[in-house]
Parts: sequence; structure tokens; C-alpha cells
Amino acid sequence: MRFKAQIHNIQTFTKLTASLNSLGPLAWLKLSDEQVCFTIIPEQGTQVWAVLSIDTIFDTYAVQSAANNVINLEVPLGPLNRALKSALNATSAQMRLTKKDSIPLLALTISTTSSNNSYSAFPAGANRDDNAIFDDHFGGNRETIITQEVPIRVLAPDVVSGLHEPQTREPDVHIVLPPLMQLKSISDRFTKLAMAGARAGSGTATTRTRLEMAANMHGCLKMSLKTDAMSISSVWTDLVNPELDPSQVANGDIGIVEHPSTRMKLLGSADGQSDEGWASVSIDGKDWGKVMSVGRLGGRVIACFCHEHALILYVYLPTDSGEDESVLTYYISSYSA
Amino acid sequence: MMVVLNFTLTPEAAAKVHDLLVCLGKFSDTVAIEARRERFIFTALNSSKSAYAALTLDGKQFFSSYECVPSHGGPDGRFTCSMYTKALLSVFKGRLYDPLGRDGAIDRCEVSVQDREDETQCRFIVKMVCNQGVIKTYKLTYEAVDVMHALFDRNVARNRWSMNAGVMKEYIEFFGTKTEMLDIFAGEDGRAVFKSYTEKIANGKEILKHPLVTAVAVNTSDFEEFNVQPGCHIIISVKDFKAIVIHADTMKTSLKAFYSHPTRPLQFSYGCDGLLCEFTLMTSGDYNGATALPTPAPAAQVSRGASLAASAATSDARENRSMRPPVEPPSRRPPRRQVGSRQAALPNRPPQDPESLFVNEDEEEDTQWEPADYNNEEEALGWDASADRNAGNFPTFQDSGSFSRPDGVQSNTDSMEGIAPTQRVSQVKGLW
Amino acid sequence: MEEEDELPLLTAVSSSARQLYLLLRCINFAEKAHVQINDGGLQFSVDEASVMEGSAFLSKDLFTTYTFRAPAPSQREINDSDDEDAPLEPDLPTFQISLPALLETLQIFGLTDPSTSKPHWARDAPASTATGGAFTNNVLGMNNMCRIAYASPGSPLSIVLTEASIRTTCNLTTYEPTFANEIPFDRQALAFKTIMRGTWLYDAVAELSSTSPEKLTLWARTRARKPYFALSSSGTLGSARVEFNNTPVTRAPPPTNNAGTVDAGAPQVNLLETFQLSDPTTPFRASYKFSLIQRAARTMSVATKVSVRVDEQGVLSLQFMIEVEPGKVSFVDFRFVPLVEDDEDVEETQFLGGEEESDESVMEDEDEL
Repeated sequence: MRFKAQIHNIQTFTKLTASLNSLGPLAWLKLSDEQVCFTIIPEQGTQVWAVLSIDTIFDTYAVQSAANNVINLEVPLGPLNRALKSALNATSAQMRLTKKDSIPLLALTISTTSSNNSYSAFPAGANRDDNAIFDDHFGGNRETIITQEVPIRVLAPDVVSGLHEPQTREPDVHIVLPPLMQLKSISDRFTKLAMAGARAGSGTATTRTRLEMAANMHGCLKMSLKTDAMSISSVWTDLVNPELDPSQVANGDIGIVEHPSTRMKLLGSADGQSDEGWASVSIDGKDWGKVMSVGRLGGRVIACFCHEHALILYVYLPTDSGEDESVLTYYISSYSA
Repeated sequence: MMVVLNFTLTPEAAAKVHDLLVCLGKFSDTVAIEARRERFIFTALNSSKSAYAALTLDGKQFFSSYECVPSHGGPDGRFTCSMYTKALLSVFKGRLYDPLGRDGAIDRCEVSVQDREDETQCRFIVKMVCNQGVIKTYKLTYEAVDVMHALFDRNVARNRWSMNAGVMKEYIEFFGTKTEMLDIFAGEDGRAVFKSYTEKIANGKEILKHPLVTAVAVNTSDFEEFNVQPGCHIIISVKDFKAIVIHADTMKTSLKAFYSHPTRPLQFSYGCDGLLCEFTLMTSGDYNGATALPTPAPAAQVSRGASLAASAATSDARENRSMRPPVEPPSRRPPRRQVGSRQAALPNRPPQDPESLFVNEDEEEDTQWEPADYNNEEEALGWDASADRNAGNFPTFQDSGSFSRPDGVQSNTDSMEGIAPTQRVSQVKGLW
Repeated sequence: MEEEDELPLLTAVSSSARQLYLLLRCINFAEKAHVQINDGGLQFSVDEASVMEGSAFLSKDLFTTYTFRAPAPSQREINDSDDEDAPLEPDLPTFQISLPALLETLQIFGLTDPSTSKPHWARDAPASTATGGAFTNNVLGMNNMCRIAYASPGSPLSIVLTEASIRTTCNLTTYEPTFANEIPFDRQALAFKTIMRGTWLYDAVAELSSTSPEKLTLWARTRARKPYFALSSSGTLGSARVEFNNTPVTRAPPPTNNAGTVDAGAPQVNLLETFQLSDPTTPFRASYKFSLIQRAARTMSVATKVSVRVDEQGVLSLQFMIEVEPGKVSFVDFRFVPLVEDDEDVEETQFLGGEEESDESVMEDEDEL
């Protein structure tokens, strides 16, 4: 079993691990010749299935194993993220699978070069001679090698063979979400209001931070909450409902005609005032806040609403080529009404 | 006769007091103060007694005015007390010094000690004189204690290095959180490696909770001085190291390290502008080795009651600046048990860290290091500010190596400028 | 919701939800706030256990439009009236709402200082989101439009905030008022009054909080015809006192080489703009529960000025002047019931944990100056 790669986009990799870490501490990392997959399946809450093209994060990538060159690892996201952060200013960063004292590790080897200027604050009160010596010493660049060892577990193929991506029905509404920082900021306030309402009112633990999310096929997204003290809703308008690609839908053009979203287009309005045409889900505000953490990656996000069933988010990582090769899929199930 | 202790700080110096208290607060809940005629020293010892700090403020250089006339002991007399670090920090807040003179900035800071014979409580009085006629006055309670110093012999510590604290701070930022140990290794390839790790070996799924192991390899040419025997590993607490580096960086100075070999104490030293900081840390043996870890000596921070007993017992007491080992026969020391019997009246003892690298003290000795309970009536009544506080026998804990040192070495004050080490409990017991 | 023949009692539009938020946040120490609507604006008030109360007035000047249709006084009142010109007390709408809910709503779009044009999440937004239609309107000025409406007695208080293409509608449940007795404060019989900068008071209270005190004591005295005002407290770790002197310190300086800078450098600013004692010959002293005073700390920190007044009964009134925008001020008021001190000297001595802290010796100390 062998894995070795140069990290190509340290920023993206760091943000990715930070986003995933907000949903769960451990990820299943599947390395293969074609893809790099991260999967988080927490005991409760949202699942994430991330499929990345290799060149999204790696360069000169080599993976070898007896199982068709596939390696399955269980990786602690916190330490991995911490290790990656130390490479943010690196001149080069390499990751490889290794073993130490029979414990498997992902070892990151990071080279940094600091120029003398990186610590410009010279001892103000120190005597001049010291400074002179100092300058002599550090006239050039300092090269430092940092090694970070992330403990991991190697997963046997039969351990992961039982893990499958959730199956959902065709969505009733699909819509491009507004910027996630904006959405997160507003939904965090809703969650706080829900918690305040639960404190004051009679809400049980499970209903405490429940928010209603809804969208229609006329560019509207709605978030709402009702407590004893208030009812509040925020409505976004002028969002985009992307056209379905016939090549991606079962039965092509006919499939599109029969698609639930096509029927939903006949209902509701673009000002968000109508009560009709909404596909809605009931979600946990705290969990949603964790999902929104993916906004740091800056990708385009399409939300698919299966009315009273599930909300699926597709987060497309920005790539140089402009193609959507790397996608993170979030499965958020709806509380029953 | 009562002590006279008055001093004035500039805003810059008061801000430095804030910075050093922040650092000492990472070692101990209490700081001890020792004021002498020419200098003022903050000391702190951590609860596992593996780290001892002594920060010396020069009377002439650090203060804008400084006057200390200890009540006893003549030119070598001293005034000592102990205070909660938190209480001092609430007075020496951040932003005392603001070149723009905004709110919170002070014009000067005046400190005096009220240690009158007729007072049941002693007060450390700090007056912050701010701009525009605002004056903030604090009266803090303190407890009289004896202050002890660790000895450190730099002549023995042949391994030395020195590095700009700002550069060192860049390195510590790479260390993972929650790691416990730092191995400083002098390679034979012209590199020094700072490795932060945790010694626990976990199994199964627990492995994934294991903190990061981080190794930072630095060219020895990047040090201002690097004179360490190749192949030498020395292990200290990473938390202590971080606290020291961060403080040294606030002073924009260089951090110097002195050590001999594992299980012997290591000293970090830095300073400028009349402030000298020395930290003496216990080190452990070979990396991953099975070497028994030594425990520093319990340099008992005896309560005043005990110290009075000590003074009474040793009327011919000497000033101990010379750092000579104590020569009183053990029988003339105050019986330890007498002090230990107080322990029932001392609540809030922090629990022993079960993961401490260092061997636990036996309970009795550990208790003596605890701060007294300021609210405990009985304890307070026991104080007697008027009592003759003899500048006499200040117990000292010694590097066991110094016992075999010839007198010639001992008199070499240069080698004794430091304060420091620590020794095995078993050896201390043997002495008494 | 609004029927044509029944116009709402109140319609008020503000171009800055932020200003309303900053004022109402000052009194955010209770779950429910009383709201009273009148011709001049909206009065919000909260109280705690009848020992402390706070109120903020949203003057109609804060709104671009403010339409209050006072309900017609009842027919009976008109008939009973002897003089038709006598002003009739209209039934001013009064109710309670959830104050935390209102505050969260007002800041739903964030609260960036108007001088920085973008909210934090717009500034931080990754550049890549700036491409593509739906992502272009992430730059929202935070001086968002806010409309407040109250249709009729029993209706919810409705808040509508709009920002670019987002519209937030909040209906706050209105509850029956519970009429607690206002803490009486006698403006005509003041024992002490001073006016100072809000931040001075804030700084002093923050300083004293480090002793974790239970009690805050105010001291005032005229010393050598100079005003002197101090706050003191004490806790387990020691005691602290912050004093305000109207003239720069003139005490013979201790041997310090920078003592001269006080006279030379410090501008002659009067810390205490106004200073009145009903009896200038007697030192004034009154104590209050520290944790209650601390509730006003946020207000102190944003206030331009504070008027500190204590009446003969010891009730403390803190009136804060807050500049919501240059040249436009609003007021937030607090009142506190004093702590009763039966045997002052004994208690004080005990509380401060030392004789030297007693009333006399503190004042003695000042006389030395």
C-alpha cells in the first residue's frame, strides 16, 4: 500500500477539511486512481459525500494497493486541518502514507522559506552590536522543514463496502442558493430566535432549533420560524432555478416534462407572496449552520428540495477549467411536519 | 519597624508588568514577590514543581523611582509576600500604555506596601494615575511567605543556544494543540529539531484522537548561537516553552537556553531594559526512554507561621544570596509535619494532574505549595505583621550536583547568577 | 391585514434599523419590554424586580415617516368633560413584547457601521461568488429600511426589513401590560448631581468589576471648592476606587522624573461638567447593587454624556445621551433603588475588610491631596 502526493492547492484543501470537520470529527477518505473522496456519516445530522478530481488538491499523485489501487482510510479531520494550516505559506507540501511504531500515519512534509523581513520588529532596546550580529546571521533566507504526523486508520475494503450514498426521489424544486455567508448570517439569527423562543415557551428539546426552509420554481427562497413570541420569515427573490439538462434526467426530454419541478413551475409567483408552489423542509438550525460552513470554499450551491422529505445541496468547487468536476453533496433530511 | 516599599512605574513599565504576569499566570495561580534594596523579583513555581520562574526588575533601570527598606536584615534584607496572579492582573491590565493616550492609558503607576504592625491585613496598594485627573486605587491583600529560589549552575550547562524570540514564535505556531512534550534535538546534519508530541500511546480507534506530532527542523545557522552536543535530546513541557517564547517575543529580544543533559534542569533566559527573566525547567530523559523521571525538590513555600518558626530556630541565620547549600543540621529545621498539619484548613487545592510527566509529590509536601486561603479566618488571624521577620535562613533548593562542588566553584558568583534546579524528593528526604 | 376604513394606529419607517437596535440594546436585560406609543415616539421600558428600571425612547425624529393615529378618547370622557378645550388623555396604546426577539430581528441583516459599506459577510465573500447573476447582490448596505406597524389593539407589532432582494417580516406577539410601579425619583430634591462622559463612567465600572464586588459605592464631596467624585467597591481579592478630580493632580509628586508631565501636558479638562451637592459641607455617599449597575455598562460605553443624579431618598438616576448620528441625540434612562445600610460604619468596615476603608479615612485621604 503506497500513497504519496504533492499538495497542489493548499488553500482549498484546508478549507475543505475545515468545512467537513464542522459536521463530524472523522472522515472516510477513499483514494483511487481517478478520484479523492471524503465522506462524513455522523450518527445524526447531515451526511456529506465529497468527490474531488485529483488535481483539485493534488499534484504528482501516486496511489498503489492490492485492492485495485484503492486505499480507504479513516482520518481525523481536526488534526488534518491543523496540519494543513501549517502549510499555508509553504513553498512545497507533500503528503504520504507511512508507518511509525506500527501506527499508520499521514505524514505532511512542509518546506517554508522565511526571509529576514518576516519578523521586522527588531529588539527596540537591544544594543546595536546584537543587531549587527543578527543581520550577519540572517542576511539570507531561513529554510525550515516542518513534519506533521496525522494518525489514521486503514479501512479494509469490506468495512466500507456497506456504505452507500443515500437515494432520494426527484426534487420538487431546485434553486441556486444566495451567497452562503449571507444565508448563514441570517439563518444563525433565526436559530438564535428559535432558541430564545424555546427557552421562553414550551418547545421540547427536539423542536428547539427547527427552521422551515422552502423554495419555489420562481426564484424564491424562504426561511421561517414561529415561536410563542413571534413569527418571522425572510424571503429571497430573483434567485435562479437552473434548467435541467436532458442528458442528466431519466428519459431525457420526456423525463423533464414529467419532472416534479416542471409541475411546480405552474404554481406560485416570483414575488414570494403566494402561498402556493413552495417545496418545504423542516431542518435543524444548528445543523444547518454547520452545513453553511462550506461557504468558505466559495463554490456554487444548488439546493434541491424534496417536499417534506429532504434537502440536498450540491456544492461545486470552483476550478480553473470551469468544469464542475469536484462536488460536495450534503444530504439533509426533513423532520416530519 | 515596618517595611518601606514604594515604587513608580512608567506606563511602558506597567505594561511590561502586565505582560510578565500573563506569562507567570500560565505557570501558577500565585506569584511570590521578593523586594530588596536594589531589585524586585517576581517568582512562580508550577503545581507539579517542574517549572520555576524568576523575573528580576532592576530598581534603577526598570522603575522611574524605587525605594525598598526591608524591616530587617540590613543591606541584604528583603520583603517577601505572595499574591494571586489574577488579582495583580486585574490591576495591571493590558493597554496601560497607549502612545495615543486613549482611555485606559495611564500617566504613571505608584505602588506602595502597607505592612503596619497594627493591621490585621496587609495591603499592596497600587495607584494608577490617569490623564485628566482620574485616579484608580487598588488595595490588594497579600500573604507574607518566604520565597525560595532554585539554583542553576551555568558552568555545568554546557549546551547553549540563542535565538530571536520572534523567529522562535513562528516555530511554535506550527505545534499542534494539546500536545504535552517538546523534544529539542541537536542533529548531526546541521539542523536542530523541535518536536512537539504526546507520550500517550493509544490503541484501536483511540489512535485517531492522538494529537498531531509536529517536528520543526531548523538550520543551526539560523540561531544566533548554537553550541549543543550533536545527538543530544532534551525534553520539556511544550506548554511551558510556548509561554516563555510568547513572553520573550513581547520583549523583542533573544531567548537563550542553557542545559547539560536530560534529567538535569534547563534554563531559559532573556531580558532587556532592566528586566531579566529566568525560567528553570525540569527535563526528562531519553526520547521515549524508560528513564525514571526526576522530581524537583519541594522548595517549600512555607506559610509565615512556619517561617517564623524557622527564624526562631535559626537565630544565627545567614543571608543566602551566595546560593551555598544550607548547612544547618536538619534537626534545626522546622518540623515539616507542623506545617503539614495545616492542610485541612486549606481548601481549593488543585487536583494533581494524573497525566503529569513528573512524579507526584506526596500529599503533605504538595499542600505546602498551595496558596493559603485568603478567606480563612483562622489562617488570617495567625498572621502577625509585627513579628520579627528575620531575613535569616531562606531555604533553598539545590541542584544535587552542587553538593559535590568544590568551594572554589561555589564562590564563583558568575556561575551562580541563575536560580534553579531541583532535585529528587528522595534526596531531600535523605538530607533531613 | 389593513382594512381600508381602518388605518393602522402606527406606521413608522426608519432608514436605519441599526439606530433603533443600538438604542434598544441598551435596555436588553429582561425578556419582555413595555411599549407605549404616543405622538412623540415609542417608549420602551424594562424593569427588574422593582429595584432597577431602564427605558429607551425612540423619538419620531429617528423615523423618516411617523404616523400615529391616536385612538379617539371614549365618548364618555368627552361627555363628562366640563371644558371642551381641556386636553383629553387619549388611551395611548401600551403592550409588552419580547425584547430579545425584536433585537434579533432588527439585526437580521447584520449591523455594520454605516461608515464601512459592506456587512462582514459581504466583505468576506469569496471573490468567485461575485460572478454569475444570483451572486452579484451580496453587497448589502446595512442601513437597511425598517417599517414598524401596529394595526389596532391586540394586533402583533409588525416589523418589515428590506435589503436588496431580501424581505424579512416579523410579527411580534403583543402581551397585556403588567403595570409595575415606576421607581419614584424626585427631580426637585436632589442630593447630588454631576454630568460626565459616558466612557469615564464605563471605564470606572469596568475597573471595579475586577474585584467581583457585590456593592458599588458612590462618594462625592466638595474639597477645597473643587468637586470630587469617586466610585468604590471591594471583593475577596481586595478593594478598588476610581476617583474623578476636576483639576489635574497637584499633589507633591513622589520622586518620579515624569511627574511634571501632568501639569505640563494634560489639558485642563473638567471631568465633571456639572457638580451639585445639596449639602456641600457633608460628604455624600450611597451604595447600589453592583450587578445591577453593570447592566447599564453597555449604555455607558456608547453614551456621549451621562447625568448622574441621586435624590434625597437615594434613588439613582442615570440619564444617557446617545448620539445616533452626528447632531442627532437620543436618551436612555436607568433608575436604581439604593441598598439600605443600617449601621453604615460597621457594615462598611466589614465589607471593605479593613479600617482604613471607612468613610472617615477615605475622606481623610482626600484631604491630604
